Amino acid sequence: MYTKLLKHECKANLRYLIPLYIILFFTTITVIGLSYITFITDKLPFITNLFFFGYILSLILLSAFTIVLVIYRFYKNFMTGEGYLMFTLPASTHALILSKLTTAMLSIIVTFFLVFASIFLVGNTVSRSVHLDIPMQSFSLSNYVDHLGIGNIFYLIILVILAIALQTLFYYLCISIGQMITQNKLIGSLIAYIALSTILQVVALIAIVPIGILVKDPNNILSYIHILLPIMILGSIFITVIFYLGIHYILKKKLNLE
Amino acid sequence: MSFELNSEKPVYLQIMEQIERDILSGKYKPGDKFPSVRELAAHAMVNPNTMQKALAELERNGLVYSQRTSGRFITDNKELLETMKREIAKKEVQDFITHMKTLGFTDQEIQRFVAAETAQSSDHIAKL
Amino acid sequence: MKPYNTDSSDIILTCDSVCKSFQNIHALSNVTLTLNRGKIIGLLGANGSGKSTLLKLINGLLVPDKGEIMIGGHTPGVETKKIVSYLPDATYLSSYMTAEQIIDFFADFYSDFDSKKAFEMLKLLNLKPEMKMKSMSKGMKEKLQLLLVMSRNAMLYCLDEPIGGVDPATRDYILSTIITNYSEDATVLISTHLITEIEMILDEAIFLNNGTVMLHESADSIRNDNHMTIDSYFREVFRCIPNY
Repeated sequence: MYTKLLKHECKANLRYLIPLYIILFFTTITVIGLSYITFITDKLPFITNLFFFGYILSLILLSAFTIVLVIYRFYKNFMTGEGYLMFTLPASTHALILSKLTTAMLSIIVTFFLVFASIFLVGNTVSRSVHLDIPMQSFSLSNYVDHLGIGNIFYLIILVILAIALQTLFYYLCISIGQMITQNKLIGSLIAYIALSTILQVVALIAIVPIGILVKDPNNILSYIHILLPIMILGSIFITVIFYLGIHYILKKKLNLE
Repeated sequence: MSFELNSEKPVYLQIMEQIERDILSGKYKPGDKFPSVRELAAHAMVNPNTMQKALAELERNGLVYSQRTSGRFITDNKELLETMKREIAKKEVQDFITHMKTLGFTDQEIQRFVAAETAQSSDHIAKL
Repeated sequence: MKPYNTDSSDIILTCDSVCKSFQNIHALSNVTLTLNRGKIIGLLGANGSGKSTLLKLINGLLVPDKGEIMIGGHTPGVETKKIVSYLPDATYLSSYMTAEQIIDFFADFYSDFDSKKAFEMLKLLNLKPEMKMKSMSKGMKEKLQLLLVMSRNAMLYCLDEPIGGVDPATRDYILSTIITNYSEDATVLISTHLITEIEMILDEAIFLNNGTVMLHESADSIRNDNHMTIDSYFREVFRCIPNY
């Protein structure tokens, strides 16, 4: 069931994402092309500014839209009329939630990967062609790897993936709580969002305290990174599991389809 | 088909009688094959079990017979059909006479009415 | 209420003292029912009497506050969803999907789904497989949703107000589809407030009022014992319920 749901959800997401990825491809190519023209002719056509602006805009819109899509799919597919179909399928609640979560994470990771790849490509081209004083190192991956160490990079990647899962489940939980507490699901979700954000901020503040006590040399915080990262990972896993269990409980026992 | 739901007669009997009339009037030919219970029920817009009961009654009085694999058929026993037709006719006439008598008509008057009406209708048919 | 059903292998669904409330409103109170296989059963009651709530409980969309529901020996969950086919009183299909994609979806998720039958029914309705949901009229959507539900070889069909708000021709189509797809092993539970339109196809009728089961008997015995239609008898029993 999980794989079937996953397949269906990916198809539904791609319907929206593929056109946007294509647009990103074209805006990237355009900007790179214009940079080469500048490089060759040593003149900066005025129109480049517009296209550059459009390019940056497309990056921002694509990123924001992916997040909005993730939230929208959960809401539309589970909380509206489609919920009658989804929750009467012979699939466990776990399969339903996990298929959404997996697709959401894949969508976000692919989008951000494409966005970063685009930025690297454009950055490399532009800095070469426009003789800007941006250090080449900023766009070189190997630079980061040497600076931080492979182990920490590994932790960072895990933390980023966890952060994506956590953020996605956070939105799912807000929507789940929202549909449970009020008839107007959007307002309920907003209320849940405000409430949960506040709670999380308080928890984060409390969690920082022991870290603040333990760190003896605040000026050189990077030296503690090999302890900090695992702690953050464990904390994130803990909160992720709590969010997931909350969503599971609400969808199984407190579903409110009207 | 429409049925009187609040009459004393259960629906399946009403259906049975309707089909009986259709068979006897020749609407269905002897030896014809019946559609399935479901098709009949869907056509009449009644519960399939009700239709099933009606067909069972028809089987009971011999108008319909069923063959295990091929389905239900109308009997081609022409004698039986004639006998049933006559029985129904007889009952219709008896009911008619009883009704007329309650209105106060005598036997001769009744006969004259019948003769006049049937002559009229055969005139009407002849003109067509 | 007469004790109705006796042979346990014939039973498809049991409700045992089921209660469900929403914010201090008792939607269902102590509902106890037994449904047998091979019957077309009407769940009859006014709007707000608890019919939809009961169907949602049967389909696992709601959880009872008290009591227990058993379908084919299981409580509502993944196992029962394999054998129960549900037609809710809502549009539950994605608007961008085509009829063909939706049929494929059902075939993918339900092992008892008969694609061939579904496509045949689609053809009979003059609906093209390539047609998108959003370009269908309300009547077409209702017919499509019904044919999807009836194309499954389920053991229990739950239809929530299938004929409410449709024109008489569509209504006839829906009723004859239900009859044509009737199977001796399966049970059809139809909830509606339109009793006259439906009583001819019922084997049994359940009267539901304010969340309580007032009656559960065979259609014939209701009519024969009381010398009136089920609709008239219903109005008798609930004298203050207005006409719909």
